[in-house]
Amino acid sequence: MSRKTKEAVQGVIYILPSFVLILIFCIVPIFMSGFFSFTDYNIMNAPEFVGLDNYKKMFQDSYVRDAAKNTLLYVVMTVPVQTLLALTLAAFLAEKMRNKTGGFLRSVMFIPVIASAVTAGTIWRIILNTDGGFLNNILNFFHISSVNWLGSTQTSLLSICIVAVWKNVGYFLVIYYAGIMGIQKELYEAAKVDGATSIQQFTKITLPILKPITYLVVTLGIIWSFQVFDLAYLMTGGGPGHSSVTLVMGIYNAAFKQYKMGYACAMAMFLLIMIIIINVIEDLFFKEKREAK
Amino acid sequence: MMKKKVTMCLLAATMLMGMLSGCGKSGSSASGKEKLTFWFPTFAAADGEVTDEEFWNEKMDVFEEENNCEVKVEIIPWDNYEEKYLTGVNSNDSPDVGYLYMEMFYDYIDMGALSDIDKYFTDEEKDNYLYYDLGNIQGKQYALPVIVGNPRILTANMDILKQAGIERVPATWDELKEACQAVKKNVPDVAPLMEDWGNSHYGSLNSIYWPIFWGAGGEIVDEEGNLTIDTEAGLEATKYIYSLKEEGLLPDSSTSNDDALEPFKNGEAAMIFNASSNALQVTDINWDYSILSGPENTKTFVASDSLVMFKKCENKELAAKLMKYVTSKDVMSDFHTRVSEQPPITSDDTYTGDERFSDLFTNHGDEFQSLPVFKGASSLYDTLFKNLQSMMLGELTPEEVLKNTTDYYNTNLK
Repeated sequence: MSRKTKEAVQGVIYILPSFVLILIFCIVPIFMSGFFSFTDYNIMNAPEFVGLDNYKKMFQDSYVRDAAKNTLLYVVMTVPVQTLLALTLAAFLAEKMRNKTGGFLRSVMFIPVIASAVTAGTIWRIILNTDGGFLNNILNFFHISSVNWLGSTQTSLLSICIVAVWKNVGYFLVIYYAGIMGIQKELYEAAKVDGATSIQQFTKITLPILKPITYLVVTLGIIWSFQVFDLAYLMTGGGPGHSSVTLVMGIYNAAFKQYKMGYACAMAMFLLIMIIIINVIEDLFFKEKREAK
Repeated sequence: MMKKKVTMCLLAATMLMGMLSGCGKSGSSASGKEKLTFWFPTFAAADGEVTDEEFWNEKMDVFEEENNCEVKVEIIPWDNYEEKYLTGVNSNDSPDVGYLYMEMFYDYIDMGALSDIDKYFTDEEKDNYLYYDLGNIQGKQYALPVIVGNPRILTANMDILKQAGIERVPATWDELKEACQAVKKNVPDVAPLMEDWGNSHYGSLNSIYWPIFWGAGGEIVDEEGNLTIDTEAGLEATKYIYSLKEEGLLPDSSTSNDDALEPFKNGEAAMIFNASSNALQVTDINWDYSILSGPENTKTFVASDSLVMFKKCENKELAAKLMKYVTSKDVMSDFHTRVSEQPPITSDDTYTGDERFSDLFTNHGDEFQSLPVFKGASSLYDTLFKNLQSMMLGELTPEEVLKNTTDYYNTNLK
């Protein structure tokens, strides 16, 4: 066996355990979901082929329409905010707080990431309570009337977005912070010599170098946001009305409340296609930017 | 090298044996004894005298000795309760004897997962059960009611009502409105009535919607299983509930509130609809209760959860014995005393709970009503609750709530 072949075999052996796990727990289920999405299947009885019925029904279902709309809104509201906030905070901490206080603040901001969604949801329900809630108490202090955060169709989804940003920002902050710390200081020193302002240094050096990280942050943010379930389920249950129902909530209800596995799989495939489309668009956007450079 | 290989083989064989030994479910155990699995939900309070597991293991020791068998007890938490059963049934790992609530029945009957248990009970035994007929679903005895209780009641802070000039708990729709108006006028700092329309689960309907709906003479489904909420009675009830909000008798915060009990406990609300067991948590307030009568009926929701025997059970005679044992006077009265205070389910048992509810459980049983069993019940309740939430926010009319819910059910859930 030549050295090259030996190395190739070794490589395959190294990736084999992960590949098998990914195959069993990710790839096969996707194909199974695809298959079941064309069937009427309730777990106990054998799946019965129904063609595109589940998909036709899905597009006529007002719940799914509202869920898709809310999920998109949620993505649009959370991803840009959490990305910008994480970047700004990371830049601030890296620039101004390279000391113990900065380390402490980074740790504090990471706590929501490791907090369980149940804990976060419960605490935020109390904070956002209409009567006596912490946030409304602050508003009342400034003579602003209380807001029915979770009980109004105008603010329920927004409230969930706020909590999601609070929960995710620490994670992305750490990624950005590591990226910023990896940028060579000489670049900034040279820019300073050339008379670049702090903002120019940020936009001309920091941002372009962080592009791959931004790509990662935006991609992860989009995927996580499309998967939103736990916070919405805990904080509003999808209500009031359909104002905060999400696609994953719809999948959960169809699968585990209505036992319509085929229908749930159709919704899951729809969600998968939506995520793929958005990721392709995002990829093209970043690619164009890279090529423009 | 050889030694290493032998060790590895032995290790693998041990692991395999370990895995295989874990595969055994119902049927016979290694000791040759008959084996049953029993799933029951959690009821014991966190600071209670015993845990659920301790209680049931203690009881099963007696049953095992009497019947020379083994019973594996598994306590199922309420979180993801339905998923646990669903995955159990799907993987042929369901219990021999389990515990289902009403919303779960249709699908398991439809799947053919449950056994008709009627033939295992003598007439005398049936007569002893107070709610045996509640387990007759779609013409077959699929269920043996085990927890029939926690009726929903209108609980009132009598000190606040007296301040408002009301001497007794409202017992009719009109009296409720009069009492609310009196509280609004005379005790303006207190919410006349508090409801939890902000709850994320449709279970709130059992307290704040169905009793009113039944009071107006409404029926959720007809005998053929068709949804019948969009009727004059349904509309009358829904309009009545809406009017409470419209007339300012329910505070705006009720649309985001997920717990009516807390404001009541704190003296911030004069009246609430709640479960009888929740009322007992209110210790510092002088409260009284009633079952609200509507223009047609006096009906309130009562939880009716049952033991079921799964079809895959290999020893059905023994499983039926287990069901009888669990629901026997001795086991149940001990359960009610040490684990969860509930009314008796057999006529040879007596009510030993809080004296204030003695009359309720002794003389008002005919006013208790449980939810019907029909296809897509959980999703229907969820859809209705969400539409009612929209109505309380002024985004749907009562007519639209009933029509939209019925249309959605007929199109997507039936």
